[in-house]
Amino acid sequence: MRIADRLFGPLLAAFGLAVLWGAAQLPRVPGVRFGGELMPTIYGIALIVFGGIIFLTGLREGGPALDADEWRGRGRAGLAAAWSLAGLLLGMVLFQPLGFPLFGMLFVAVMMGLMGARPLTILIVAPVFVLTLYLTFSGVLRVSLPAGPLGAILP
Amino acid sequence: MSFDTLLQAAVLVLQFDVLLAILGGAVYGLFIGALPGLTATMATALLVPLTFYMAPLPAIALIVSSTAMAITAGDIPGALLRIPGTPASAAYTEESYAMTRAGHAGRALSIGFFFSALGGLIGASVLLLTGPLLARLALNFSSFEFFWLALLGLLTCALVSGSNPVKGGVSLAIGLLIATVGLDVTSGQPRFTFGSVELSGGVSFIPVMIGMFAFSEILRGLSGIGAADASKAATPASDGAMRPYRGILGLLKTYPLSLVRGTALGSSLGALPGVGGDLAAWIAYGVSRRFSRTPQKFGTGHPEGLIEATSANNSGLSSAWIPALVFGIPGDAVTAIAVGVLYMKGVAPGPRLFAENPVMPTSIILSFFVANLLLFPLGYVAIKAARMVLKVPRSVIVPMILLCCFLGSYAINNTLFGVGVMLVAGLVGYVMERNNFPIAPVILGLVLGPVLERNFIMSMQISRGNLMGFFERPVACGLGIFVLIVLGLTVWSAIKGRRTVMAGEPDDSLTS
Repeated sequence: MRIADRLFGPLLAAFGLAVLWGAAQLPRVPGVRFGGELMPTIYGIALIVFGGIIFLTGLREGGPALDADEWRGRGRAGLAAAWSLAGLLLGMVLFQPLGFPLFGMLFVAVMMGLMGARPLTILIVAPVFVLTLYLTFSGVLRVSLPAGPLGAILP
Repeated sequence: MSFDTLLQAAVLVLQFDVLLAILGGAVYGLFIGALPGLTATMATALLVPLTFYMAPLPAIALIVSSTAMAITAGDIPGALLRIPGTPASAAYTEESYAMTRAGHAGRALSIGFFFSALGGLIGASVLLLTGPLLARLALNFSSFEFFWLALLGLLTCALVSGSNPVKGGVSLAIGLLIATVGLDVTSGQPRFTFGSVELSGGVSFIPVMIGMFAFSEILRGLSGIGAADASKAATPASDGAMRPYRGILGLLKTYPLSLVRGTALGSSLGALPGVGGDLAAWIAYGVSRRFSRTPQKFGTGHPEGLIEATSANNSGLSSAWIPALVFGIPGDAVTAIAVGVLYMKGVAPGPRLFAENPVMPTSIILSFFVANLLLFPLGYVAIKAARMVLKVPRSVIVPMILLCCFLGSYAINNTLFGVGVMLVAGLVGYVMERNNFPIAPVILGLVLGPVLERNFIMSMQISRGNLMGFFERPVACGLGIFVLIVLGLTVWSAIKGRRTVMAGEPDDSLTS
């Protein structure tokens, strides 16, 4: 998504103002002259100044203020991008009940399908890759990963 | 250091269990480092449970060799997929990836392994010969010097990433702002945590790095504007260019100064406690570009900056052990973990260790030599194997990378919060890159933000708010003036470049 500098600049300046407001709300510790609000205040001011410069230099730019041309007509690639986000968000919800192996296989299989992989490739790659990853992390590296329903058959 | 000590240490390092630990650590580091989204710090942290069952020297040798290899292997996804394995390799990922896209993936990887190994060997020599002296010097630095050094690294990064210094500054400010989330370093009060327990611990740089570099790059690739499709870059015609170390000696003859300067910068900056080795690669790349005869070639797959930064990377890694071993002050996350392991084994790093048991620190240093020597043959194998990565269809590798991103973000703290951070960072990174904001300064801002804040606040308290106090100590004054000159030159060249553009002449000032 392309945002013209004449719009991005004020957005950054507004963000800088929000940071200044947030920094001003931080509780002061009695007797501490330079507290936790100092650095956010400096960074907030920097964002306002940089936002102003970007706005001024972007005034001479033409074209639309907002543009998402890169996604137009992307078809399956667009769907794959949507799944990459939605699938991982779904994974945050299904991680415990499904376990890593089942969620991983589901995610990888759908993603591969959307990106045009052949069904046989999906059937081989998704389980082999996910189970290798699972066994490496949980078995060798001792990372605690939920096994889900497959826990009964996995080591 | 006596010859006897050196001999005894060599005998210890050449024992079977130590050599096995070094080899095992190197293979493990190669595996972790080559996987996009998995970092050297994570590799080291995951090794700690294994070290419970080992003697002190093999345990530390395992950490040393896995770190050296993981950091070097982090260049592989950087060069092939534009996903840096470490914050340090992010400094030159654009350069090595540009080389891959030009059909010279083998050359990019060869430079990474060869000059990393050379840098590591030189860094280990520096550690062996001048370690105590350098650490003593660094220990005399106060918060003023550390503040200027951190600021110099951050500014250099913001100014060299991309052609617009203002947008680089915005990226840096965002990274520094993210670093302020969590408990305030001075008062311990929660800051910008919005009542979240997870945010109280701050935002870890690993999920942010994975999101901004890996997830956003995949989105860019899927949208058709990105360059994530390395398989397209490596056409069959370029397979010959995947021959490891081909023409590498020629590069060594052409750019000897880059190697010397990179290792000198890496060795000296890496030795500063709290600054660590990551900064060295960023500064080395910036210095290389600034003093190059062909600065306009930087960013197009030019070997000069790559050689300098990658040499600095591994020499900094070695010298980061100077403060850790000599004074027990770790210079970065990896040495912090290693110092913890040493304490766990009943070995207290510090000056007394050198006085009472000099064989132990010397043998740790010698294990660096073995680990870095292993980089040559294992690098050969890794470069050969990297061809397979390039041949894997995109429909197979992209889902794999995404799952690694999920797992890498989860595994660092074993919470799904990291996954959420990764996704948000990925979307922000995508929008930033689409609008020509460099994302590398965000990462360095996040990593060095606490160092900058801690030293700035401490210095302000010491000088009672008088900014002239930042110039009262000789070294701090020199560093401060240097920072101001860099800033002044940047503003001047930006104004000059703008005038040139307005006059309708070619704009080359911003790239010089």
